[in-house]
Amino acid sequence: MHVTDALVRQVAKLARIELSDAEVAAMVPQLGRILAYVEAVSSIDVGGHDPAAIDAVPSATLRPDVEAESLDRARDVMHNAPARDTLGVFFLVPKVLED
Amino acid sequence: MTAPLDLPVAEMAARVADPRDGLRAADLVEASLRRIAALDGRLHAFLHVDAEGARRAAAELDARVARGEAVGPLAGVPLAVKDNLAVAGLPLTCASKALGGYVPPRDATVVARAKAAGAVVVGKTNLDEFAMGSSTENSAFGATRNPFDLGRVPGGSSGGSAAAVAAGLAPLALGSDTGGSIRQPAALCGIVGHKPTYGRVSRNGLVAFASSLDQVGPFARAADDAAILQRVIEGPDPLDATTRAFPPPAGRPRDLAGLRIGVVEELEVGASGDPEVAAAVTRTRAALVARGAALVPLSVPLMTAGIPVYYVVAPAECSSNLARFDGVRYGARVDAPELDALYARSRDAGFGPEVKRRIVLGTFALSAGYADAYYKRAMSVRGALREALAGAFARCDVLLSATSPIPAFRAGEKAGDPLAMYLCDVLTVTANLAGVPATSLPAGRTRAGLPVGVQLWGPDGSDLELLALAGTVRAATGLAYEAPALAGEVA
Amino acid sequence: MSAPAYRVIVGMEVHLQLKTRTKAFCACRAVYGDEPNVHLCPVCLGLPGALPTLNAEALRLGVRTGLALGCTVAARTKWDRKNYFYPDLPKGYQISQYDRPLCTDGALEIDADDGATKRVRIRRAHLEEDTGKSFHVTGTKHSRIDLNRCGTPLLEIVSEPDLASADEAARYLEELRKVVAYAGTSDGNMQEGNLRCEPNVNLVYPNGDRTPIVEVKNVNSVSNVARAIRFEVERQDLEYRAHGRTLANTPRSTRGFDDATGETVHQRTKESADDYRYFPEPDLPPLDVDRALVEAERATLPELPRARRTRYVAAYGLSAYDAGVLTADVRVATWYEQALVAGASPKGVANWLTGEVFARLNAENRGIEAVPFPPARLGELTALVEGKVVNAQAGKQVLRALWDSGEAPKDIVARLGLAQVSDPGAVRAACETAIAAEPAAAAAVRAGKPEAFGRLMGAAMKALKGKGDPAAVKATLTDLLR
Repeated sequence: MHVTDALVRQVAKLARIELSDAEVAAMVPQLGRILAYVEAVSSIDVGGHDPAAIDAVPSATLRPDVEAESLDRARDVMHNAPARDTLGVFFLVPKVLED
Repeated sequence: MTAPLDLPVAEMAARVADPRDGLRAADLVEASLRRIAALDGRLHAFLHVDAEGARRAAAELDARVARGEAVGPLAGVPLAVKDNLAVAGLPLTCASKALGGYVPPRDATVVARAKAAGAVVVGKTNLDEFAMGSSTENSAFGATRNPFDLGRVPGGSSGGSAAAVAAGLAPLALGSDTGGSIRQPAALCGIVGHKPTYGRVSRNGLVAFASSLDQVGPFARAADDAAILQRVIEGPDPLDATTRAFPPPAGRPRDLAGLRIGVVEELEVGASGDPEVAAAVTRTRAALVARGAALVPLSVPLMTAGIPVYYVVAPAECSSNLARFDGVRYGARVDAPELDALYARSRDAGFGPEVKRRIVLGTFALSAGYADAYYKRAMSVRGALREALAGAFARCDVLLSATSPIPAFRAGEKAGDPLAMYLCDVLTVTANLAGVPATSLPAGRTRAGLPVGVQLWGPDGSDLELLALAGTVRAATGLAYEAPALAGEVA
Repeated sequence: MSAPAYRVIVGMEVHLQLKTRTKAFCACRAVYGDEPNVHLCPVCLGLPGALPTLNAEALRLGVRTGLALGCTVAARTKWDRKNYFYPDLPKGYQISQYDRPLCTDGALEIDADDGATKRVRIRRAHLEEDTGKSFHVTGTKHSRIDLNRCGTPLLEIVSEPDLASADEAARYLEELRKVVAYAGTSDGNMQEGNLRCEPNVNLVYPNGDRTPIVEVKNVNSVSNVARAIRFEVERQDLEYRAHGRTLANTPRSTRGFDDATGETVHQRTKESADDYRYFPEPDLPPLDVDRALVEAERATLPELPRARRTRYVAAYGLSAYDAGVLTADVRVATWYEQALVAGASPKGVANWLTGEVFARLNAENRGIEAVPFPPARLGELTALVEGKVVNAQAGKQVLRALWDSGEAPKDIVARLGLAQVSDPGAVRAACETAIAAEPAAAAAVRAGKPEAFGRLMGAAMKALKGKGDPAAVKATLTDLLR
């Protein structure tokens, strides 16, 4: 697996992390070595082991549809918000397309 | 005369709970705070000390005892909590700038249970940022030092909790273990650290790193103490769908006669490890054999796949778990005129280099075109590994190996080489991948005085048996926790 | 008119909000239209350390809806994370279902454009959590985010591209809404946002060329769905003929619908959209769906709208129109069936219900549940009219009294003395009285002008105090005027 600047930038974009040129430059060889190491995984023969064969739970054990107390908006929700409207009612982000 | 803070936890709590006994929770908390004040400047185990809250909680507990009310098995015991577990009203940092002053509204389930049992939270301990690391050097707020040698690391990622307990600042601490983050620091700091069976302890309120690997577990100086905390925090939680009930231990704890101890060839400390660590493991095995245990040589070739599988699965899950740190509802935010720039700049500013590296690695492993070769493949191998380990437990009762191939290394020694740091986990990640419980316990020191740990692994659900066995091993080897020199500086 | 140059292909993606009290993965109230950001907890707010727990009722309603749509319910189902960044998605991923959805292989029957029955296949229906809402206040630089809706349980229903026109798509949606209302699993109200729809449209030409598939978002009513599809069809045909854009050379895209202009507007090309990096949700174990739950839901599903319509036409002789009116709302259909009593014809009861009863309900702006008397009473009333015990006019009087008192109709008739007069002697006497009272009208009828007959009928009925058997009166008058 050949790791390039372009690949690192593309993946960083998917992850919404803005890497500086220096960070990209440092990461390329590091990721290259790590990937070369983990590549070992692909040569291990496990004879078609099904990764989805995990223990399932019966649907009878699910949470009942009963309401529990929600958080207090001012004290617990908006308190930590980095940007909120003047009334403390909405979170704010740069303008987006409406849904 | 043993200082109250150094008593076994059962005795400590019983005395606090007894209104006729003069020992009060307030005394224990003051002792803890005094030791923290004296030593933590050098150790930097704590990110936040809640003196006021601890004193208030202690006073309330003492008042309840005075009124004759029943209190729990951790009555008055000071507890240090790794700063990736939520304690309501106290800042939660995960040792990262990304959390930016975040204060959680509710306790993590394990914290609530510990408090309900009478424990008093004295503070939040340092860790590698978002629990990613093996030395606590990845903290955004400075490294923690090993109490046995301040020029060395305490291990990670729960280095702060391990150092706090090792230095006697608190008798108990909570940590988290995803690839060894409780056991490895326990070994490097000469104390007991237990990683529970996956699903035994609630992760509600633990900031997720790798959801299918993370577990919260106890640190203590002795296995008995760790077991008390383990019993308090464990158990199904309606708020965590991955928890399940486990049957209580059947019968008395096993004694050593006839105990089958698996020795897995692939887990032996090799040439790249420290011969003193290998020697400690050998000595421990010999002491057990002398008392009737039998060694069962085993080979589990898939064990060597542990690190590669771990370093695909864990980063993949973490890349998704850390997506919520986007600067919108909490945490660090770097404003920008456009949404994607807001995200990208806030996250770049908030996350340290190791975290960024793992997010990029994980995102890559899940991305279209690569997910089959990396993530899916790794999960298949993981399933096979789990079966292989279960197969090993069909032939023995426990495994005994080293915890870390090397004792505490010097600060800065591995910081420049991520892969070298990852390889510190080689003896611990498999237990997380398979979900089985494992305990690290003290096994003496190197000639240079650095602690060495050995690791007991058991089948699913054998947590309390393992902790009991750890106590038996201690009796057999005569090796127990010993306080570091600097602990002697304060009462 | 020549055949169109292309064939229209439409597939529908519908997101249905399930009618649970709490959200899909936490116990916050699932509610529409409250104060912003007040129904939040660590889970739906995406706080660090929070974990999802599945709502049993969301599963049950998902199963029930799937069964109502003829789907197979999976024995084992699982959850997956769909990863992308958007401010209305707090965790940075949506919990959804990828490769093992709850329901598969269903179908909905509708009328095709040519009137034949068309079976629209449903590929899958899966559970997922809803996102929050963002909106923009003009003149400001920021968008506002309300996360109340985060975590509300949705069932995403995906059809095969079996629909061939805007009208078929509209019929599919209407039928889906009715089925879901019958099953009682969702309000299915597009205006309230509990049914959202995204048509996927493209064209295929006789030479085999296909236009690129376009997904249309933000269509908030059935009629707008039809408008959007019609616009898209024309736009795609234009693009193809003018620029040769086909599936082969142009990527899929998403367009928004502009209600004011009726046009679709480019939003983004799918190629540059996020790679969702689906992987199994580690916080939720896979689920073994209890067979007893599935069978219990199957057993309690009511007869569904289309089958019921067909039965009403075949068994009751109702017109397709009337059958449609009665089955539009399951509560009306149920009420109607309970009104069918011995002696009353189904058609007769249908007429009384859709005529007089509906008129009163509409005037009061209320639904069938506001009718204060038991349905059987309407059947009894119908039987009385059809049995000629009272005439239709008197019947209306009985209905008014019935509405107020809930008394048995036959008791009302007795109490108010509304019994129809059929006695030949009395009828004849009344007719003679009428003819005598209206000599001009009588003369006109005898002279061959039938229009005046009504006047004589009115006079005779008046003489009988409105209780005359109209048929007998008419026959007697006719006889007397010969």
